[in-house]
Amino acid sequence: MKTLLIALSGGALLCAGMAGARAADVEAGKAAFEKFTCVTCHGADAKTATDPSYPTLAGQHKDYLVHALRAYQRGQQGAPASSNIRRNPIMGAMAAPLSAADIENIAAWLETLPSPLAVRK
Amino acid sequence: MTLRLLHPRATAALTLLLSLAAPLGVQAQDTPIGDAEAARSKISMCIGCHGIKGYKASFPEVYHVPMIAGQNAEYLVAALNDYASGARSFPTMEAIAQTLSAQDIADLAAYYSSLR
Repeated sequence: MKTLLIALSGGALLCAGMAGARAADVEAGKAAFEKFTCVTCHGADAKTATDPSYPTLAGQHKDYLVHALRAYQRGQQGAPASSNIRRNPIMGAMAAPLSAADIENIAAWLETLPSPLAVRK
Repeated sequence: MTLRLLHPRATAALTLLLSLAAPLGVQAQDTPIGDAEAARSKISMCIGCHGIKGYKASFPEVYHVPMIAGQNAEYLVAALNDYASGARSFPTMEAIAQTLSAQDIADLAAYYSSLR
């Protein structure tokens, strides 16, 4: 019984810890979006880009945004096309300094934003 | 005054101006204007992935395919051109983008950006 209680409270603590980490990630993502000057082109709301050839990021799927940023990093590193890359002089340079955690956080924050994007209308 | 305009030299100048303007007309044709209505017969290859809620791609990681309804038209054109040229590599999108004409791309971009 004692073992069960310890296991249960341990599990509860773990859940609380994960929830806390997740909330912090979104805030860290917002900060990183500004720190890495993403806002300059994509807009503070991530849907008013300074050039129409730049995408709306607000509300986009988090896992897709993570994938896209990794693809820009692979492209910038000169990886072969077979490894799924994006070659883009601007986004390659912007994505290069991002850590894996930065990418996760930025994508998590972007997904929470109000957006005109939809799967279908 | 009128006589001066009809002077051969004036005519030559006018001809030169027209010949300079002609290439501009050709350039305008190279970037077609998108027709969202015309895209309705061209979206079948898009909706099979982008129109299905929860649809995921699996290379090189598993992730939801992007939402493109409501996206900026010029960005969609740039993305499709990048897939066609190989600047973006993804087997399915490269194959599809290479089958599209510039007019098809403009029409699809106009259609998806109009869904707001």
